[in-house]
Amino acid sequence: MKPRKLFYLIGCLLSLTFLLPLKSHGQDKERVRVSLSYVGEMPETSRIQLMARFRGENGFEPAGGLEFHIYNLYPNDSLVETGTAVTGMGGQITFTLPALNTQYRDTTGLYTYRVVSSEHPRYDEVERDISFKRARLDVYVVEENEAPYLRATLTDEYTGEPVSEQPLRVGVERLFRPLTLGGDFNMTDESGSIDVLIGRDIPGLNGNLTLMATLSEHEEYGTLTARTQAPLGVPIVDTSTFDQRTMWGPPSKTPLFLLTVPNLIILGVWGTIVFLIHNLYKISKSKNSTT
Amino acid sequence: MKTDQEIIRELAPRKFNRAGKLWVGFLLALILSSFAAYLYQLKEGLAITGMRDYAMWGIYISNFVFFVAMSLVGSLITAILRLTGANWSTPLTRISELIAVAAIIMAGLTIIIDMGRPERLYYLFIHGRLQSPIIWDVIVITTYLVLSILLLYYPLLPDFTLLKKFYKDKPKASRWFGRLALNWSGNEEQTKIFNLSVKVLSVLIIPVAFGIHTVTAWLFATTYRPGWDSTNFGPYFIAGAFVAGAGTVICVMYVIRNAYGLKDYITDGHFDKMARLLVLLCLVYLYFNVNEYLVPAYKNTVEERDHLSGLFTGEYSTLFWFAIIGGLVVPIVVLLFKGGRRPLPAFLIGLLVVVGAWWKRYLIVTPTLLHPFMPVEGVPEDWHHYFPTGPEWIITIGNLATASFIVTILVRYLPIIPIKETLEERETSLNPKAQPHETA
Repeated sequence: MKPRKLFYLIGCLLSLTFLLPLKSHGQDKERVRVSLSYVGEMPETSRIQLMARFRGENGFEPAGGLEFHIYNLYPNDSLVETGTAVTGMGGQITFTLPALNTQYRDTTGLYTYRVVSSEHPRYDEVERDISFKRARLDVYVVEENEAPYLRATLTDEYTGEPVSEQPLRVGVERLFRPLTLGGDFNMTDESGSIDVLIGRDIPGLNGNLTLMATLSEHEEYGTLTARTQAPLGVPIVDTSTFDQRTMWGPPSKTPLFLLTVPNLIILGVWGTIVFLIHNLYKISKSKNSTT
Repeated sequence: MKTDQEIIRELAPRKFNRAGKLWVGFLLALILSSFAAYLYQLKEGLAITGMRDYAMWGIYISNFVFFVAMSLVGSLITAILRLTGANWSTPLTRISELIAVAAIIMAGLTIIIDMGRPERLYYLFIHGRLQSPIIWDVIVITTYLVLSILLLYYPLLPDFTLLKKFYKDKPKASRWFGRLALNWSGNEEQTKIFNLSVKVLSVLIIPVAFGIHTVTAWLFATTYRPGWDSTNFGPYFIAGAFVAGAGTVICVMYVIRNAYGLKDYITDGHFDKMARLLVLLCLVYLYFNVNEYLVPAYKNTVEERDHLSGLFTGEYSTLFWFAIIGGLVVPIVVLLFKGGRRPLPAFLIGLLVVVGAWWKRYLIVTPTLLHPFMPVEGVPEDWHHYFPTGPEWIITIGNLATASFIVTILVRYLPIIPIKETLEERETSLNPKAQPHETA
């Protein structure tokens, strides 16, 4: 082998030696799985929830600290940025969308958004699209045979057509999760409506109930929630001790016995201490005859 | 027969010998190391410790509880034994008062060391709630500190006057003792004020001492956790504090007796009596321990079972059985025998009691924190365990060294055995018909 060829061969081997690890280092980045869902709250609020995960040592783990841009997709794949956010430790982001009537939708009433991750030292870049239609979910209380019902009506906002045969969940809003009314699912009829009986024995602050209907994870409309208030509950007697003097209250609401008894004891003890210190002074001033 | 002057010379403060200087140097090295470690903690925050969301109290608070326990000895030896007329304890009163003052100073400092942001200490006073046991603890510790200093200072007045005269050929020392003596001459008016004040102090310090230990116990007992959820915790802490304090006094009196050659004043009889007292205190504390562990073990709720199995057979079992057997059972057995109550065996048992008492506080604080009724969600696995880090150990050992340093310095400059009382008791023993002076 000629020396020049040998030189090239060694050069190629060295290049491979150093470049291959760089290549494999690039491949070491984690592949991120992104799931998107649309959540709407009547009448105006629209959000896109993002969950980013990667396959770690302990199964799927949240991809925290990853920046995403969200774009509204226009015809010919042109993009208009609507926001940027970074995933938290749980790998989640909630994008609140601008009013949907200012956003682009296609001729079938479909909104499309694209999320694109920024470059990250640990994670591969990823992009994902989500498309959804906007539906209206109207809730109001009706009375039939002297009994109150919650009526929920689901309508496609673009076509104005009622959406039938869709399961809606109805409940009363509570602190942790809603109190379900009328069974787990109530299928909408041909007018897109359901009627669910509201019991007369449900407690509510000042007798008010926040009634809600939910369409969960629909293929086209995503998750939709609508709420209304009605004075149909049994008034709750407020047993909160917030305004009372309690052991668990702030300094300004210390119980009176705790203000008086310990302070009297403290006063007694420290009064005695002052007396004892004063006695030292009296001893120092007493200079008369020695015993 | 020694003359009064000889007695005063033997009991007057003395310069450190070579061993004493080495001891001071050793303590200063430990203190400086801990100060450096504390500066590091101030800079980096409590993240350098092993404390996390579960174990938010570690050896700093264990050390705090230990110091609080030690401070009770002042009221035990001085106040309780004084009021009950146990005159045999006279040579031990000052030792116990010094230990009490050093311990209560360090208890307060340890709490500040445990704070991640010590510059916010004043928040306690501007945002403190009188409903919180933490505020009660702040109040009672401050009160006890002042009372302990007064209890140390009052009986020193006659001794300062004697020392002022004794050091007449050393003007500087004489002047200092003269100032500290507050013109004490022992006249009728002074004696009357003195006797009244000491009586008031002796009576007052007992409820305050019980208060400080009860409130410290309530810091734990008012928190709903396995191992702490007990109505017994106040008396349990007081009983434990008496044991730790008595053990410490035996150790310190042994060291002082040998370092200063005070065998004529701290006699074998004193060791014998202190050892008997320690047996009684250990028995009482053992009884409280049986209560603290037997009742929850009988109920055997899931959380208590986890907690107790950790202590009895789990990761803390070695320390637990050392604290119970080494710190209580062995001392009871050994000190029941006359041979065990001689100075050296009593000293060794005292050391065992003190070490056992320190680990007992660690076992009271830490294992409970690792088994809460409501687990903390989503924390790394290693947060479920606690072991102190290097800086924590250095700071804690430095705290113990500082307490020892305070005692050492006070021993250097104060008469460690009450001179006036010793002279009076000797006079009374020589002439039983003579009425003892009504001083100290």
